[in-house]
Amino acid sequence: MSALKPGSIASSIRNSLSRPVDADYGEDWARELARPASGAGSTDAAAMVFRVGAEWLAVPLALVASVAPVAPVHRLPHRGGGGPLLGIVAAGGRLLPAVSLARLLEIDAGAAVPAGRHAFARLLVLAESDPQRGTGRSAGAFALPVDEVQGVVRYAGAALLPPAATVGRAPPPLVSGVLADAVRAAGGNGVAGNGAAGLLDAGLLMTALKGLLR
Amino acid sequence: MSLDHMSGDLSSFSMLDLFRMEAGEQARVLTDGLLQLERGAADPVLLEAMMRAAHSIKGAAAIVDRQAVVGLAHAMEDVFVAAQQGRTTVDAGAADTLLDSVDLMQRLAGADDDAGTDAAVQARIDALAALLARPAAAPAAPAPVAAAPGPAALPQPEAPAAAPAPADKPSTGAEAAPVPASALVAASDELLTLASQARVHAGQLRPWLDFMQRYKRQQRSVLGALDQLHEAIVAANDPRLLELALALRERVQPLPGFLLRSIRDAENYERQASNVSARLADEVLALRMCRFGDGVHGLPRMVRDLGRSLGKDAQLVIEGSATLVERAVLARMEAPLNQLLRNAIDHGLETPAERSAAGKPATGTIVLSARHRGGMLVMEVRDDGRGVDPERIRQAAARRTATPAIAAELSLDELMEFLFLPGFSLKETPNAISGRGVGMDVVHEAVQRQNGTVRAESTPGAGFRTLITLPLTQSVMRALVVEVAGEAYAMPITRVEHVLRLQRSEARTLSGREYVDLDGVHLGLVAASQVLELDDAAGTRDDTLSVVVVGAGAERYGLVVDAIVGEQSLTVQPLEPVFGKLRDIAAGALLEDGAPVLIIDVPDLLVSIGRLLDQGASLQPARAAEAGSVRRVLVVDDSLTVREMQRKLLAGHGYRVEVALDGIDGWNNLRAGEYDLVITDIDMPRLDGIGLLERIRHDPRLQRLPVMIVSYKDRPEDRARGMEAGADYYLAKGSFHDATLLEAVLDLIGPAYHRGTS
Repeated sequence: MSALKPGSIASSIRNSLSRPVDADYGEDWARELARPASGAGSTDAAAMVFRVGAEWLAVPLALVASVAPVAPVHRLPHRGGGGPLLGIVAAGGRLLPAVSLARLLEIDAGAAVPAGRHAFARLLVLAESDPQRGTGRSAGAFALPVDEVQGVVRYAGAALLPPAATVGRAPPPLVSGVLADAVRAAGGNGVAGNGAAGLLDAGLLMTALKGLLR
Repeated sequence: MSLDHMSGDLSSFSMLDLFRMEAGEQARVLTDGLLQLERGAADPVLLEAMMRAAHSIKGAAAIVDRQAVVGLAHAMEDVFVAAQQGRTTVDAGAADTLLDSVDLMQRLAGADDDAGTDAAVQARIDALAALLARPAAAPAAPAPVAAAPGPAALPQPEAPAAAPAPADKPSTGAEAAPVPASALVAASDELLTLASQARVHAGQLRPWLDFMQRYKRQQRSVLGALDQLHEAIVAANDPRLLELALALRERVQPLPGFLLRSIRDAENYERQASNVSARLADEVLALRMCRFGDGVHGLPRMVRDLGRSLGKDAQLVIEGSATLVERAVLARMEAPLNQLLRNAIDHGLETPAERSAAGKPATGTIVLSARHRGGMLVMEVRDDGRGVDPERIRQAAARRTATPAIAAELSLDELMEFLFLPGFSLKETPNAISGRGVGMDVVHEAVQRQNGTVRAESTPGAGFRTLITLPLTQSVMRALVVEVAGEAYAMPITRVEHVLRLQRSEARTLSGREYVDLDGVHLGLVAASQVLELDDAAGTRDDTLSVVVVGAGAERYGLVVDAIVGEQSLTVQPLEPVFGKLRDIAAGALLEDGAPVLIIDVPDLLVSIGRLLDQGASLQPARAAEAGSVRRVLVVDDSLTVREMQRKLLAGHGYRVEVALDGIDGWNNLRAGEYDLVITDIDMPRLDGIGLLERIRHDPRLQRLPVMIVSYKDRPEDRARGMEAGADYYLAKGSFHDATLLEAVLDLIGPAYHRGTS
């Protein structure tokens, strides 16, 4: 750039800032600012999204201790079969109760994975964090075999949709809300429904899980 | 509430904890010192240490502003200073007062504030001051037995509780520690879990290495083929191909080297990983150990106090203080050891007068020792008291359980065993300490719970000795791993009496229950899958039964399992608290491949079996494993020889055979069970074969059941009578041999195993 006098730089900046704008410019910005707030800046909660059978579900992230590879479940004596409590499973070196969400929520577990997708079954380890004992060992932990874990989804608490009346009153009524657009387009390719996931209530879920062991 | 105020609160809380910890430590120094001092060790070093201990407590109490403790410690310090200067002596009476002061001080330290303790503290301080007022020349009471806590101690509210209180002392001392013990235990459990997980991971490298070795062999054979190809190309003498082949050979050359290096590296890594993880697990286990002496430091005081309250002079000597003992084991042995010491003082030791008369030192000595022997922990409690007269056990045994004739023939060892029976006591008048018959059996039970054994020895007039042998650790268990209903279960090896593999045909049946003859004793078989109420869809199809013999006496069973995997060392993981107590299960563990295994609580299991049998459950292995899959035959014959011959023949060909002694017996079996065929004799007591056949044909459920008659009666009219009654086959015993019977059975119901759909 050729040597300019300082004064000329200042004046060209001034010129640029005071230039006339297009007619659309103001309108564009008005539209932009009028749009309801969304995106990363406005989320205040996070959930882990996963799939059981044909249904996409989510649990509050605070409840998720880890995601472990699937491992064989050892049945418990005197418990009969067919209940949601499958038995005991090793996750991260600990022996945890394994609970079938499909049986707990009466989900059709037989639903086939849509063709052309790779799905990896996982153990979702849930634990109530216990401030008394630190993060190492929590009071009650459960391992839930799931068909697929999608990952963490951030969402705005206010944007949570209420579940359908039939869902909200299902025994046990564990679904507290619906996360719209929670299932990624890429991952949700071929998924039944609209990419929404049912958010399970942390307290009710843990109560239901503990109830199984009584 | 301001932040500042909160943080102030927290820091004063931790200071209080520090103070409690220090008070606990110093109290131990004081207690140990006082006990030695009382035994006449007027050691200036000892006095100095105790004086300093009291002084330290005083300083610490002043920091946390606990004036009551300051005053008490000060008064104690004065006594020690006086003793150092020879102005007073610490005899048994003074030791009582001082020990009570130590107790009070610890109680005060444990409380949150000094509220409401002024009177007690002042009375104690007065009592300590009274010690100083005594002239040093005053002769120490020779046998200060009757002089229970010194006169000054009388106004103390806690003084009357002298006997029960000391027993609580060991734990009181431990609880003064600032870190909650439960948190430490939880952290230590977590560490052990992680360490064993690391070991499992390291172990999983092995199969991967094996895979690489296989890959190496594959590579070698491919390279060999490549060489042959190369030679063929050389022979073909095509310059273009030869050039390509040479280039390829050059590229292939380094591959085996790469692989070899990778394998070597991986092997090194595997070795290190398993080494480190094994050492890690060992170190974590070592962390869970404590010195035996540290765990039982409260006991000498308990023995002394208890001895005095019973008018006896007793001292406890601890041997093997440095022996490492798992904390959890020691905690569970606290009550049994206490009981043994109480027994020794109450039953064993004589009064000082009696001892002197017998030519023994007036002070009775109880030795508590711990040592490692052969991978086990051996704890011993022995006293130099009067011992137990075997004849008294014999008399008591005759009174209580055995008949006099049997009691008269019991050996010395057998008599000693009686001491551990529930409700067995030699003491005619039970007192508060021991002798209600709940002493030794409690010891026995606690030791058994820990998979250990206990044994007693006595030398009349010279002493009594109890030996407890325990596994060194409850964290790692030698266990027998078995498969039940397709899943792994483990039993502590100490609980397993026998492991048997036997042919199905060796098992006999009596009233529908299978048993085997084990060295002349009938051992009832129960199916583990039934006891545990597991749905055993797979079942076992082979002819061999795997049997684990557990229990003793009337509660002895042969547990039939799918397979016996073998003996393994398992790192025991307590089950998550959320499970609660699982019936028949003691704990969990991970097998070497990382799969979970449940450790069976054998005493619990024995109770379960008994209860299920009482409820009428048959728990029969064969029925569970084979119902609907193997054809069942009922053989009815009053001749043992014929019955057994037929049973063996058919069982040998895979049929499930049960026997009945006559028509009535057979009829009862038929009504209770499911059979595919009945083979019956005609001539039998109570109900003959024809009668049985008629009943079968008139029963709506059984009328289509095939029945074969095997009889000595071979005349045509006998045959006609049998066929008329509804028999499907008539076989004469005269023309009877194996092949004909088998052929007939095959004709009637087919082979033993159902093929395809039944």
